Amino acid sequence: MSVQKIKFLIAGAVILSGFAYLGISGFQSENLVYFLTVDEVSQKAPTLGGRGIRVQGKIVPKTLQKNPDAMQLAFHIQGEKGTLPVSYKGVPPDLLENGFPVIAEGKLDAKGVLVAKNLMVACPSKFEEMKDAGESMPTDHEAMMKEAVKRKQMSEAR
Amino acid sequence: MIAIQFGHYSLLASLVLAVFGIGACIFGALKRRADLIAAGRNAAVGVFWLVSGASACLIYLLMVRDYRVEYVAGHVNNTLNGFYRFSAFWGGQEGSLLLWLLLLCVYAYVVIRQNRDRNLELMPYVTATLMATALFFLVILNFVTPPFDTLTAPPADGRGLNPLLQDWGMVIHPPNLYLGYVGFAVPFAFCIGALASGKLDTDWITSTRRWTLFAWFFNGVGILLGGAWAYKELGWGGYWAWDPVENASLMPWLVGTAFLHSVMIQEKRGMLKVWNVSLIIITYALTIFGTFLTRSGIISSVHAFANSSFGWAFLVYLLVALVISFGLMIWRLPELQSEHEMESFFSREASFLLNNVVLVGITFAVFWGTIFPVVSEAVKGVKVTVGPPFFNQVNVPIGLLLILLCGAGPLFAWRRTSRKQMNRSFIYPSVVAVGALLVLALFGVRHVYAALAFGLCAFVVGTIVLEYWRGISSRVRHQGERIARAAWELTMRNKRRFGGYIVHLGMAILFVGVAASSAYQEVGEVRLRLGESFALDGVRMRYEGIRESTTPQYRSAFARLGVYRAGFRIGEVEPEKRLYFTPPQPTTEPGIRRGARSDIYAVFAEADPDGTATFKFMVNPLVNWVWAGGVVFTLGSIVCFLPERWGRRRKKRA
Repeated sequence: MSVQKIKFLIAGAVILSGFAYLGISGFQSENLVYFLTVDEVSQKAPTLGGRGIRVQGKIVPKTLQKNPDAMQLAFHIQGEKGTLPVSYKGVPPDLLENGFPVIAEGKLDAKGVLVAKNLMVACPSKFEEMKDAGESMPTDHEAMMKEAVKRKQMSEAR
Repeated sequence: MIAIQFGHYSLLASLVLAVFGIGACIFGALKRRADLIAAGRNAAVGVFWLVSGASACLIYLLMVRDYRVEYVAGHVNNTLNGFYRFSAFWGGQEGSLLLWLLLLCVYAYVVIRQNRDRNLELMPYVTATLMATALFFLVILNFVTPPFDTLTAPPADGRGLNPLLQDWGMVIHPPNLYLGYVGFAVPFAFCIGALASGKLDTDWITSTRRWTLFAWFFNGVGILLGGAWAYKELGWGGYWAWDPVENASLMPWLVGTAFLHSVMIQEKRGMLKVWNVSLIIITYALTIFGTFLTRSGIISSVHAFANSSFGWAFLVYLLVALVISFGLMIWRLPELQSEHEMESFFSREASFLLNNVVLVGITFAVFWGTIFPVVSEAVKGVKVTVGPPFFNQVNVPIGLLLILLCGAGPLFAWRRTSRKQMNRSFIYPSVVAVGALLVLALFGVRHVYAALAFGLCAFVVGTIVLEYWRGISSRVRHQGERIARAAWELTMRNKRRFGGYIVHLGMAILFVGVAASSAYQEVGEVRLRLGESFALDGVRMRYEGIRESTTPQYRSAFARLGVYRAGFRIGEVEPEKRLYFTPPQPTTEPGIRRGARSDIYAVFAEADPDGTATFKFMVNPLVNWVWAGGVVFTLGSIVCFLPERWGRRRKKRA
């Protein structure tokens, strides 16, 4: 093997290990978000400090509190056994209502409240997916239509 | 009914013809039987006509809203206009796979016509490879997601097209991306042709140079259009989120870029043959993988995937294609030896090789981040997502190295660069870069990555200006041309080189935009009563009113906001909230005031009955540079693509 070839191999190894370092260090836990159910969160709560988690579930009826002027929201998500309190500050997503399925992403605070950075309504609009899953129009559809009508009345009243 | 039947049976007949074509081509090539090869070629042409017919049928059915067809009922409705009815052709799973197949067949047809008297040893295998790809899509379209399935009880109205797709950007984005995706099948097929026939010179590369460029260009433009659409339509204020679908379009482009560069080394120096073969195989595999990723739903859930035969078909095909391709490559390894050895780190070869390693490195990081959730769920049962922080943390440093190489690569000479040449080439661009950094520091740019990106982009621009300056001044001296003429002649006489520089210039402009808009975005969320205003980054937005409108598809509310800078009204934005009727879905149409310095981006979240409204405001610096970079990238690619002789001044008659 020529000296030149060895030089190139060493250079290549240095570069590749640089990439590998970047790649491995990128996989720190703060760059990952774990999908958990409400019940898993309550079980594992002590170990979840500082970790990004993503929880999906329906808003427990009558728990939704809106403070529009401070742009804050709080509600509980329903699990199979318990519920999980969630708080959120920012522009609320469309169609957020009691009983709706939501996806909340954020971190647990010391009191066990999920402080959501992202909040989405698990929107039943993806007809294709539902068709593939063999579902019919979701019951939420009615709620959505109600919302549409409400908005219409609201705007006409103005 | 005829159109439905015709479409259905065309696809079935195509399947049979494709199988026959593959067999005839391969057997004919092995036994050296010209009649069989001709029969295989004709079969491929037949597949082209049949698939075109089937596509025409589906478009016709969409245009006349024939709701007996499930696909039509699922993707258009009575209120959808003709433009979007046409675009519904690729608005759903079945249609977009048919579009893939259609483009592939068109390319196969063009390749066959182009090569009637050329590349005779390669062509049977090329045709067979293209038909094998077509066969895969035909199997899917015939047995897994048939587009011509009918409903027993046709509805009176269809479900309509997803509102988010009702935008011109989304209409041209998928075909554009597919033009690129599918285009990579051609150089891949020639590579397989070379491996199978043993004709391993550079013919397969030179014959497909334009095809590669074509595919790469449309893939790139497709990515940009996707970004432009996300920015304008999705309302979160950015254009790139490292979403699996975006990653799927980026990966083949990255490896394609590496391929585009490294084939030059094989053409010039006969090196990196195995590497080039691997790159094009990987590019092809990534285009199939990308289609799989966007179409199988594997990323949203492994379980959804495991239940669909669709996903497995893709994986099996991918595996078979990879095993055959790399198998052929290993079989030919002894004939793929390098003709030369790398001589110096400071050579064109070495810098291109490093550029390749960097591009493949980024691809690998993106790939790993994209599939990690799937791997994690399948192996550990833990469901995770990998967010943008991972991709940025890994890719930004590697990307900066890439910008450096984008400037430095062309400055190195082939084989080795002497100290004197190095000084001559590097001094001015480096001075420009350092100067730019100092100026930026004076103006208070403290974001390290952004500053580095700006400095390196200045370096790239410096190298291009220097190259142009050298060429122009020499032509002005020796040919007595004026400067503009000299610049034109210089570009037209060295299209590949100077077209490449223009592409690099476009990328530098684009990266400035990316760095500025990601490092210096300002965001504010606020609730305003009518007449109140909100200030962000020196811009004041005053909430002036609300108005409503209704179209057959949706009703919408607009919030009008006056935009003020330094007390002067510089314009207004009207973010909109829409509510579509079928399917009932709200969408957010941001109000954007575009500017060379920064975009003002307003999102109207909701309004109370008394008119008090919630907004999200963003000031996005230099976003227009991203699109401007895209335009320059397009111009450069066109220059590279032009025929060799085009645009040169004819020699004066003696």
